[in-house]
Amino acid sequence: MTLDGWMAGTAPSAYISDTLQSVGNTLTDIDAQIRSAGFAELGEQTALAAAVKDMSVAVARARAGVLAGRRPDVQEAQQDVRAASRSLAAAYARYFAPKP
Amino acid sequence: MKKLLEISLGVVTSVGGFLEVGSMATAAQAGAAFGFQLIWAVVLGTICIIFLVEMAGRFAAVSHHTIADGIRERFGFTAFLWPLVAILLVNFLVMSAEIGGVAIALELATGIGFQWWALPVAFLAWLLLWKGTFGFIEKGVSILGLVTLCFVVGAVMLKPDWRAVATGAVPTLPAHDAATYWFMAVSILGASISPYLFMFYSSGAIEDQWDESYLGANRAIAGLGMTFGGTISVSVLIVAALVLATNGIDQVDDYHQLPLMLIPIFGFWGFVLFVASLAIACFGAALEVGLQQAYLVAQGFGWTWGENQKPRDNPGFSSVYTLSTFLAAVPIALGLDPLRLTIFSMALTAASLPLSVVPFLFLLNDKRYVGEHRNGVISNAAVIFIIALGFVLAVVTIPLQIFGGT
Repeated sequence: MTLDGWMAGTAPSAYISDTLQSVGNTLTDIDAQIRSAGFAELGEQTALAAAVKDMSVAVARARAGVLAGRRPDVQEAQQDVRAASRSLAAAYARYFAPKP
Repeated sequence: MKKLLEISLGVVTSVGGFLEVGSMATAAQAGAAFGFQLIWAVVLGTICIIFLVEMAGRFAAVSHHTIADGIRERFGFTAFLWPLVAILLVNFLVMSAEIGGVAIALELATGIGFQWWALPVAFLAWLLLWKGTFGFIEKGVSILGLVTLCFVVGAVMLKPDWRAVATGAVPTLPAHDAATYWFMAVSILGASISPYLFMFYSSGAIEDQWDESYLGANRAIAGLGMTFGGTISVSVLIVAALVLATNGIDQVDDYHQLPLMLIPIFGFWGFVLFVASLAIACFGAALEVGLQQAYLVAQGFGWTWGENQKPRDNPGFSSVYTLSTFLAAVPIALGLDPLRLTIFSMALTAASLPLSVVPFLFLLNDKRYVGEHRNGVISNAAVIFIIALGFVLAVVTIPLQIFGGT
């Protein structure tokens, strides 16, 4: 939604950049929490951590694109964010699914 | 004709001054997380504040005492100390949150971190309190606050299902995250039934030299002003539900998410309108809370008070708002997250309600103060209900803060 705003020119770059930085910080915190939690199966934990990592990378690339004002880079990063978001949702569901 | 103009101005002032960082943040969080389901909390809070504001105004107009004055005189200074300390503490947190709200708006507008804005905002607020008159502060900022009507326009433009909106006005049990749901309900009630609102209103009635001829105007201002104000809060909730929730944002835990509410509706102007609404609404509230701190202490200790007097004529009064304003900026200048502080202070406001509302039951039924204008059955029933609600909120707030707080 934030990147849509930037692409449409309806939100200033400084705001979008700060927002993406804030999202990046949140993802870093989540990553640390996942790594410190030891109750899940190792495979699920790794998948979730990898999805968060992909999301962090995509968000960081989007921010760099916004700061440089490069629309194609932001557009590409936006697609990566969407893909990472889908993987994250799937990994999250598996991680928190009831265990037999 | 003059009275009608005063009523209109009073209503406009109430509408413009209703929305502040607490009502905006809690309504946005509630809308994003639970759709229209928590509209009932805004409606209930608005009904409660209508009653309290009407009573505070009636008490001031008839007895020529503010509520704080009345509590001290009727119950003695020792009894007054408890509500004094509680309200001062809650007001301090609320004022800090309001300064944080302005600082966030300035960060959004300039990209410079909110911490850097806390002291300049406090200085500007202090300067206006030092130089301004009551009328300037009350009416000037509140009229600018009418920019918050953009949320009402936004809500209408989104064409919500009005039947679902009306259904939300009826309390229902949550389908998920029960602790968060009830914590949000408590925070909304805290933001709506804020003691500074009715305490400030009674001091304002004395500043504006109200007498018994203002009782009708008081009723109209309390009823219409607060209803329209509540409508703005409901609009924020509707916009959050229809914009944030439908775009997958079901948790507002970062203030950067808030401007996204208006951008899809108004485009770039949505961003500008949000920043302006947040800055003006919070700045107005910071001025009012700062003044309220000074009113409370000065009235409690029997000092000379009045925003229309020169600071040198009431040094105690002006020292209190000076100190309050700069102290409230410190937590924000130190980097405390304004959104978390807001939600916490709104919950604490709800928990402190019994201390500030119980005296209404005695003062508004005391012939020596209000003569024949004592509370009727409905007003007394409302006060008893609010006191009971206040006690429930006081008991549940801390557990809910632990299990459902953000």
